[in-house]
Amino acid sequence: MIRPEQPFALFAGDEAVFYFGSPLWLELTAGDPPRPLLELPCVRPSDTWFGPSTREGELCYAAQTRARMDLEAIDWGPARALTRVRLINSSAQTLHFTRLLVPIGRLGLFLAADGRHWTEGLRANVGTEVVDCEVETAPPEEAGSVERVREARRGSSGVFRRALVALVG
Amino acid sequence: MTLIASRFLFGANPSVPEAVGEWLGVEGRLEILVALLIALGGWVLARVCAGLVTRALSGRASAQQEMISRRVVQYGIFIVALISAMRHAGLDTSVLLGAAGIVTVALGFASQTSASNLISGFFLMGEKPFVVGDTIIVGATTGEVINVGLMSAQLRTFDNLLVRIPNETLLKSELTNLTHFPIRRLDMQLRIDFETSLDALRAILLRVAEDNPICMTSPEPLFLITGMGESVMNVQFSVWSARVNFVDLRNSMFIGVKEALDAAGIQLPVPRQHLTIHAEPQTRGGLSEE
Repeated sequence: MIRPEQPFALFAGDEAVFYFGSPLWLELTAGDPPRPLLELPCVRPSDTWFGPSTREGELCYAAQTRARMDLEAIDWGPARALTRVRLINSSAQTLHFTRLLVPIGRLGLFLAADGRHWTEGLRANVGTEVVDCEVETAPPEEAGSVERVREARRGSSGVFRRALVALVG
Repeated sequence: MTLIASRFLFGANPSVPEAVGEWLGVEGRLEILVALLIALGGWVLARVCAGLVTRALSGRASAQQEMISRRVVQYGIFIVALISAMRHAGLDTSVLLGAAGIVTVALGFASQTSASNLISGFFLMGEKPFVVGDTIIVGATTGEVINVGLMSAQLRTFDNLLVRIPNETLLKSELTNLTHFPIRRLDMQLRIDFETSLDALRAILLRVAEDNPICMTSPEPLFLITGMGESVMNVQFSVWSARVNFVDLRNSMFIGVKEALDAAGIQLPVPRQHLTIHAEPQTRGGLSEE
């Protein structure tokens, strides 16, 4: 789950692009074909809860880095993967954006020529009642030429829906 | 012997020798054989059907519901088969059923506690305040539920003891389920000197929570002044964690808070009282005269 450093408002029909970094996991494999022996997070993110109440929701990690709208402002390192999120407000009301649950397990990992790691971009279209969150087919053009390092952990890219309740408020 | 006696008591034969003679005849032996086969077939069918029910409910119902459904099907089919076998053997089952009713009433009076537990078990099954694997507190007992039966539930305490709690007790007493919801809150009660800055204390506690990865960022930690005592301020600091991390959270947060307060020079106070002694005036009439 990522939060902007300060909550911001997105006017109706407007869109915003921001970036965030998420910690990579180190996987130790052996044998041929490689079998995983151990998995360790480079940075242990804080736990957090994403849901409308303490009874319903989803246990997830909180992004240690705040979402930035300027790519250069991100403190990137070899142990982080960058993700670009394009947030579109297609509803008729101003969207007060406070947090976003990113399906990080659905994203693949890419290595750019400059040594940065990237994931596919995300496109969240906030409608009146639902949010359409789409995983783009490749990392954004800002990444330059990239090479795929790892497939997504869960499922494949595509469109999935999430409740709007937790996103706005 | 039971069959012979029943036949004698409830059948139409007037005397013992004739009844025994009929039962030992070829026709009688065949009837008994067929009746035994019916009963045996019923038992096998009951077991098979119970197995099918178990398979059908597997993953869809709780272990308790699965067990009860299995037993109802198994014993139901077997009882029907048994009655059929008895009828085939020539026994008048209606009289037997009537007698069974009387026996049931007598047993009911004799086993009120068991009946109460049984009925409580059905209520618990409907209400479902816990399932096998949950950790619950009942009275002074805390433990993991390892079995929920018709009469009682069995808990395994944390020091690995088996505690059997009757269903009636579970239904009547206050029961706390520690593992029902996925996240839990830890309430830390702190006693602070009046000299300590509350803003500084709040900042220290929030920093400890932020630095602890198993302490959740959302729901946010709660800083609450719960009151002013005689010599201390009472502060509550509440943090959340995933249910499975609760014990680790408790230890790590108390250690972290203690270390952070020590580093900041804030001492957790011991109870103290100020005693002010006023000196007696020395110019009292009686004393000065002496």
